[in-house]
Amino acid sequence: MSSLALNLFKSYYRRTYVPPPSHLEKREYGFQLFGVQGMLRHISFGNGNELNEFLRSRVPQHAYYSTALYESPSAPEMSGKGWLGAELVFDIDIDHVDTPCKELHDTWKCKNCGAEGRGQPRACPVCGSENLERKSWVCDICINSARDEALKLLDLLENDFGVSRNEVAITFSGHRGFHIHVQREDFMSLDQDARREISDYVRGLGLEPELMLRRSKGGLYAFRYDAETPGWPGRIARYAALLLSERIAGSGLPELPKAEWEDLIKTAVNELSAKIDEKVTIDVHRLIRLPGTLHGKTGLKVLELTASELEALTAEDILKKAIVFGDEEVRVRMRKLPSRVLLYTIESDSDVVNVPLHLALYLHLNGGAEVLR
Amino acid sequence: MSATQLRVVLTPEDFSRYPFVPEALSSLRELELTLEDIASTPLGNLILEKARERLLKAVEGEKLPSPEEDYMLEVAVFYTTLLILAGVGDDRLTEKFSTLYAKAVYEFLLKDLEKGSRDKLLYLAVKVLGWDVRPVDPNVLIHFKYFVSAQPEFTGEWKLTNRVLEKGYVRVSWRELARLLETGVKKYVISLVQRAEVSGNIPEGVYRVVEEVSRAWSARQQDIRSVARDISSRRGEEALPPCIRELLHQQLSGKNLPHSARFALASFLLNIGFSVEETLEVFRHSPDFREDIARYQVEHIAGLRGSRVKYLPYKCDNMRSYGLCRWSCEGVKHPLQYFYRALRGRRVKVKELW
Ligand SMILES: [Zn+2]
Ligand SMILES: [Zn+2]
Repeated sequence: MSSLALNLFKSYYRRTYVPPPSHLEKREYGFQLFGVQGMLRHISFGNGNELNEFLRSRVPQHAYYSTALYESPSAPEMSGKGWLGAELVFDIDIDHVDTPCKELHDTWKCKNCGAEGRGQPRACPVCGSENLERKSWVCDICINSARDEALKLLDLLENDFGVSRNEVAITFSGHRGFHIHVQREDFMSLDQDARREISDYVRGLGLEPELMLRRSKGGLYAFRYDAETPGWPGRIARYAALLLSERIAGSGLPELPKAEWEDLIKTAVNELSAKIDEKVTIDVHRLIRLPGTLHGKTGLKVLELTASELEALTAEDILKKAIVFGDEEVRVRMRKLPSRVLLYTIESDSDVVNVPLHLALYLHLNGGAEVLR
Repeated sequence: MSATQLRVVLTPEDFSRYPFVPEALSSLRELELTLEDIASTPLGNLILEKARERLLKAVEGEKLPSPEEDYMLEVAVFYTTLLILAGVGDDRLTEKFSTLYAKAVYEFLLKDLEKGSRDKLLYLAVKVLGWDVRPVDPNVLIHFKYFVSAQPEFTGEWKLTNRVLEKGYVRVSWRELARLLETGVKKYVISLVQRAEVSGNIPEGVYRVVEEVSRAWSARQQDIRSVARDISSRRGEEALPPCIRELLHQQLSGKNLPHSARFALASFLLNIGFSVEETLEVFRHSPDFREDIARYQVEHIAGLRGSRVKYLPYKCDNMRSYGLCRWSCEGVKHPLQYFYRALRGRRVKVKELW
């Protein structure tokens, strides 16, 4: 089957022209090849044909490119590359969000005591060890939640940061999330501290409820801002108005004990913040999946979307667009089959099932499924 | 606000407080003073002596002398100082001077505000630094990308998360704008030094000052290195993981570390048993060291303030993703792990990643 995966990837790159990213020649590329440990790094290309020629001849399992631009992207040392700037990027990964489907497809095994089970517990429920071997899968429910987070981020970018929707490029990662690239040349030079501030802002991190409250009569506290206020204060005010609608008499939010406000603000921030992986935003030398290539754990296409596509498409639509291999039936054997994966519900007591080719490829790449026929 | 809407609001008196503005530089041209003159005329010697005096203060990390009242003289001294800095060519000294210099500028800006001269702040922000700043009574709006590159702190009221941010603009008070300008001016002065080019040979008299300042600076660095030796030999330098060792060296050599790096270093030192005072001693070498702010931050990390939790240093993964570590230490996921292993006499295999 390994050769089948390689052959499928080969057929994909033979029939596909992967669109070169902007500033193609100033970026560093990294690849992981089938059956080879470690990553090929510090690769650069002069034009789109060179890039596609590489993909066709080397057929990588994973393909990445730098969010940074460099004078000499192929220099082996970071210090020799000549950093010119980096795109502002956000990574939304469903690993950071609780979804109901994790019980249906994710499994874990404790490396300490050997216990195993479904879902994504923080630590082993038997012995408490955090040393778990995890296997995670993606389904339409995951993508829906990731999509919700991405839409929250787009709202924050637009209303708070003034980044309009046609200034962002969105990528479905081919696994459990989305990458949002802000296409603003004037943000390229932001340093790490600046990016951390932006990242903390969209996560609502470091928000101090006390700064939003004013002491009032009788030991009660008033919220300093109204629903019209821009940014976090207004967002929180609108959320509070919704939660407290029964207690609002006349105009404005009620006065409450401090602890109650603090709880409410915490809930609002948790609900309204975008769950991003901050490491990706802060790191200005990051390699990230190259749109148009295949994700080596799923066989799905790393898919470019516009903001309006992201809003209009359902999770099912997105998955269908990312599936690039056929649905001819293939017989596979695998232990602990996920019961929900991609668009499919697998109901089987046996370890052997008949599934469409693209699902067989996913089960093989991510779960070590054996192809029988 | 577009730059053309701003009148030139600076008087000659202002040129002596803000000699870095382009208009001040053109007044220097009227003086038609060459490097040769600086080295060989009485006026030139006066200028050179004053520049030398300022740089030796910067080497010691002391407050710079007040600007000259004669603005032509001040502008000449200022640019001569930058030329000498360019000649010395040490980024850390340049940073140190610029930090001290910007601090003085901040004081003048506050005085201007007290006199109601807001237009001077706007002028510096828009015309000199190129910031997108718009006055909206009674506050100012500043585009977030300038705010985040100049904010002095990353917690509390300065934190972007706690600001009103609308369509890319942060609302700040005029006093806050002055504080943001301090950082902006510091970076601007650094860029002036980096761009300063001396054409032709440096005259002997100027070169002597370059040499003297270089010598004083490297003597000062020696002092600092011996402090570093003392501190790290407390446990033996080998006990420190390579990332922390690197941060410590950078810190002790007076480099201005980003917030994340300071946090990593301070939390590490506090966790291996340094006291707040000892940790502060290490940070005293920052070019922008301010006892009150640094003490507050270190005490916060030590868990003596705020949330009352003692902070752990970042995990190795995070150290790397913040660009603070470029090593991989076998079997080590946390810098403290390295330290405790080394303390038990175990060797940790270290590989440089990039
Ligand atoms: Zn266990
Ligand atoms: Zn799912």
